[in-house]
Amino acid sequence: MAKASKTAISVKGLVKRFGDLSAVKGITFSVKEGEIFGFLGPNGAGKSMTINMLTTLLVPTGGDATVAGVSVVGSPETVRERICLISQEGSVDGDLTAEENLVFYGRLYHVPEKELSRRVDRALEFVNLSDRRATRVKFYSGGMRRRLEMAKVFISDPKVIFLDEPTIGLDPQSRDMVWKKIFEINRSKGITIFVTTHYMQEAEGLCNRIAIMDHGKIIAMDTPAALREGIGIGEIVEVEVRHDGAFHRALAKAGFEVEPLSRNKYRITAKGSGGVERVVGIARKSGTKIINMLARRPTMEDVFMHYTGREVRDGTEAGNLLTKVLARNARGGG
Amino acid sequence: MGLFGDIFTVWAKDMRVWSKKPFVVLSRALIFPLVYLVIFANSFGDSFYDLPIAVVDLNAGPASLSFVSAMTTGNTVRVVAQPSYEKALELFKARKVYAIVIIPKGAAEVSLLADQSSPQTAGAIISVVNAAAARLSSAPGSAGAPPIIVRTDVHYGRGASYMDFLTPGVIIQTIAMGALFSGGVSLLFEKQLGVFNLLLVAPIDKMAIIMGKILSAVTQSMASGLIALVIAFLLGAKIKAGVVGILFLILLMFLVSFCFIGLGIAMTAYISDFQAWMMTMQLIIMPFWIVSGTFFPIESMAWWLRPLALVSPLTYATSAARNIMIRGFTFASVSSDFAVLAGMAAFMFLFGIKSFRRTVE
Repeated sequence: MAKASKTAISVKGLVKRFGDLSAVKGITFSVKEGEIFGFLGPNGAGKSMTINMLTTLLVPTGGDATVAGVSVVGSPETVRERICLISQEGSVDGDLTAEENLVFYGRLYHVPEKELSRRVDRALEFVNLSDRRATRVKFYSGGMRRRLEMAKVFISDPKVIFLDEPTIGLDPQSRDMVWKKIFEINRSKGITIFVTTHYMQEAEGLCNRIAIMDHGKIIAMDTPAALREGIGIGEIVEVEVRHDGAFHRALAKAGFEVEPLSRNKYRITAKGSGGVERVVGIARKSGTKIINMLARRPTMEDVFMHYTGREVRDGTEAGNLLTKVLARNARGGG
Repeated sequence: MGLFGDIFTVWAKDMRVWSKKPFVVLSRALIFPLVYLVIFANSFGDSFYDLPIAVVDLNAGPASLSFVSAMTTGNTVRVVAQPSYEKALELFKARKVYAIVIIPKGAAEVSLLADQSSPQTAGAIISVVNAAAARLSSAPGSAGAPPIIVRTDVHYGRGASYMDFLTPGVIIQTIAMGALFSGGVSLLFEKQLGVFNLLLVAPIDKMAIIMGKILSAVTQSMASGLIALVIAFLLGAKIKAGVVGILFLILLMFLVSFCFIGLGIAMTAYISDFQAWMMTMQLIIMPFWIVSGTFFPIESMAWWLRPLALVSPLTYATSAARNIMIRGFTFASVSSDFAVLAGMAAFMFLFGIKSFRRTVE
């Protein structure tokens, strides 16, 4: 997959300002050819602004970026020829059938007609929508729609694919399917993939490298493993005890970071290794009975929280679908 | 209480949303009825004024003078004195005057040529002339003199019904609405659903997006206009145009289409809320239509409403369409309407493109 260290995306001092407000404050990073690059950050961190600048939807206030070897400031038209954007709002027209949507897409990208019908067949087959090709997209489920979005990749033959929250609002099966397809596209065609997501576990499993953005800046960037190591947490232990007694105080004294989760239940963050044994030892010494215990290595979610804090952000990015989806789920809807 | 509590919750939430849209609320509750009551009520007056008529006075004596003054009392007609029948006919053909009154040397038999393409104004003029004749015949000083006879000759659209009168304006309005919707609403939806972004990231020129969208809007609105025309035919509307007339009618439809596509896409550039968009559209298009002369001649409108009619492109379009469809095409009768409409269409269209560019670049 990763072809020897050629650069697919190179960002230098990219800035986006709206009046006094700096949404992106001069970020610099690069993505290697063939990489799956995860771009994480809380709502309003500047992710969408960045992706919009890289896909030429927004003109940067300062700095530049080259995508597939072409400057987004200098020749945005050429960049557009070489990329594919799959955004969270979706871009397929509900009144057209799957096939019609893809044909329209191919014509926008100037694919020769003969070649186009071949590519449409192949694309629909790849996303398992061949038998529903003549159905108007408004009758599709969310997962089918998202798969149809992915099919665009096979029409225009892009060098770099930008996916903005590709799995948001989907059920676990569809999410799994979408990620599988992303992985397959990357594997089979060696296409560079730039993806933003809120699903940390998914990012962790699939991305070669991950950048975390917050307040318009990139605050951490590395492989998932290195990021997990980098926060200096050995283990996270969640423990429930019968009576607290001296347990809580003994833990703090031993230098653990203790966070109460509920009555008699704590999350203990242990630096280095051997955290479980030490927690059990302290419990025994203080005569505390452990009812339940769960120990795990730090996940991407812990890394994310470590860098961006636990404070909830008020999403200010336009069209923040996540907020809407969460609100709908909270109301007990679909 | 559970159910009622929930109902209240739902109601209160909707009311909260409602109260956050002052523009929509205000137009729905206040501006809308007010505008329509004020405009509608004053658009269909029962009396006309200032109807231009040509008078060819061959008598040029006290008898004709008193006849003219008898006609003009009440201000229903405005006399445009003409030296010869030929001159008067020229104005009549171009619909610069709505009737010709010829007073012969003897002043005993007045001839009246009326333009039936607008049945209401023709009727008003005929009754004014006849009333003047009757009044002078029974005047105290006229004892012994023979009564004045009015010979009325109706030109253009003889037997034209109210539907014939209404049809041109309805067709124009159909195109205007079609243009607003296909130019504005479809764009608004595409932007909201993200479909528009597909075009923005495609390797095509921005001008291609703009022109493509406009072209599809023109096609759609022209199609709706032509369908309206066919329906009018099927319902029995008579169209007296000739080949050149039909070509000019189609040109006219294009101008209306461009004008309102311009308005539609300009509105979309500034208003992103669908409800607000619809309200704005209603507020603009309905008054424009009512005062356009589609339903009733402009001459019966309250004087303060006339300026609104003069800035409405629908007024000129309806007038030109009516001249072509009822009177039959003459260049003189439509040239000024076409000139004004072309100017308005060019302005609105360029304004629309300019606003559109702002959103794609």
